[in-house]
Amino acid sequence: MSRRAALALALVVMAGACRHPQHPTSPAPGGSPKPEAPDRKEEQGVPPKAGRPRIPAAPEALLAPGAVKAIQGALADRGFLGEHRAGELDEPTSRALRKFQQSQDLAATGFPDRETLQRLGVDPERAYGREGGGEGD
Amino acid sequence: MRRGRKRLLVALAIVFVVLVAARAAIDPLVTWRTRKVLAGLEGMRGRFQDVEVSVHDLSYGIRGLRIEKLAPGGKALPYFQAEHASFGLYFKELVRGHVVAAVELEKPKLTLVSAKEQPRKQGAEEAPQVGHGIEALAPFRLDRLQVKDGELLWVDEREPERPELWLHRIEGTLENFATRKALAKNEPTVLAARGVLQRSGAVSLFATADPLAKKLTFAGQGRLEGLKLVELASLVGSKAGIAPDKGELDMSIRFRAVGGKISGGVRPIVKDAGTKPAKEGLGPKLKSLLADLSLRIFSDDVPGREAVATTIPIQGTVDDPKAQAVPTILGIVRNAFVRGLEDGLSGLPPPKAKQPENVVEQARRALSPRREAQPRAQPKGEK
Repeated sequence: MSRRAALALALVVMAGACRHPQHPTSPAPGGSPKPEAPDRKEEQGVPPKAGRPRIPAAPEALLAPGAVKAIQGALADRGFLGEHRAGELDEPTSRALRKFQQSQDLAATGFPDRETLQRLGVDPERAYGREGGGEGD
Repeated sequence: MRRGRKRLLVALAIVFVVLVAARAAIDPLVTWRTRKVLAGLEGMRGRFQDVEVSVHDLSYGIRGLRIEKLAPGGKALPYFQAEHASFGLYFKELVRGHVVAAVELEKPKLTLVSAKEQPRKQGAEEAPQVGHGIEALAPFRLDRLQVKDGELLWVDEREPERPELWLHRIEGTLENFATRKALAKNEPTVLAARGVLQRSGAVSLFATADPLAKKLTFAGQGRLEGLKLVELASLVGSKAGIAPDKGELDMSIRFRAVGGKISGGVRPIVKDAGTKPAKEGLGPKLKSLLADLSLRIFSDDVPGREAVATTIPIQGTVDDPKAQAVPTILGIVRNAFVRGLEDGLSGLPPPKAKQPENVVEQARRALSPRREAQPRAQPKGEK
């Protein structure tokens, strides 16, 4: 390898090392892209500040990890939920929630609100990630 | 000893008689009070079938409520009605010194009419001091508001066609709305709702808010699926002179407001759409032809789907300085819907950008099939 070629190679390696990591902007192949996600910033809602509550933009963000599975389990136990994606607030889960809410004479929103959680036997404080209590308690 | 027992029995009998008399009097008293409150509504008149009060579970219910707005000519226009509305207090919380309530509305219907008046322009710095307004109220927490089988009718009287948007079969809940920080338990107010728009569009909405923040603070998302565009013919036709005659609309919206500044995006997807002139004349016909052409040009390349998709940014101002969180959320959704619909149909979204973009860049964004190439509005057009 000539000296000029070696220098060029070294420059390319250095340039590569200095490049900022590139985040893929297109969805991963094979995975279903979220079809309707207009603005990334809005997905996260309003970040929590000291002394102020969190303001999530999506129902999933309001629920604690594992809460959806607990809800799905309670719905399946009562015969409202069949095939579904475990741990995801997917369409079958939302439909099952609506059916359960109708059976309980509650507003059929398909969202696991506190009253629905209580009637499903799921602790709302735990499901909303407030087991230890919060400010103002 | 015997005399003492006799006195006790007499006292108990008196208490019993007083309680029975109070219970018998409470319904007529509350009925009278309800009539008085309804009669005191400015520019409105109200009536109801009956009211019921339960001392046992501290609740008040009203059946067949109907409130009408009185127009200048004396004509009564429907404003709000509900088959049954109930309000109850939680006894356990009351014992602890907290006023915590629950409200349920069965078959409520709200009719909103847009009259001919100029909307007031307002900057974000003028956003209402929501938190201060709410804290002026007595300390209480609305634990749950539940709406079953509700209706919302919006009539645009500014147009001669009087186009209507009809949201019905509304099922909704609002939880944890408090007037004090301690009562809110550092949790947001949560709104969840579903309904049907016109006859075919399935609508869902989720939002959370911090009503005690100094300025409007909320976030959420909504979705509309399978709305037949022909059902919006009068609404679009009155504005654009052309009306859709076929096709379906799906729409997603995400929004958030921090410190009174509202931002977000609307993504309408118009499938297999076509238009026809809404009025007679060459102008509307030409417009319809161009709209059909632009719908074809902007159709995406998803096999088997003749759809037009774009993303329209929302930017925030709060129209009414007295606005509260929930009506503002609903207002944003309505505005975004109307705007998204117009832009989705025309295929010519007003893009938004941090810096002015040249024509080529704008065209590249608009024509790109990639979602990342979201069109942007130009700063030049901002107020």
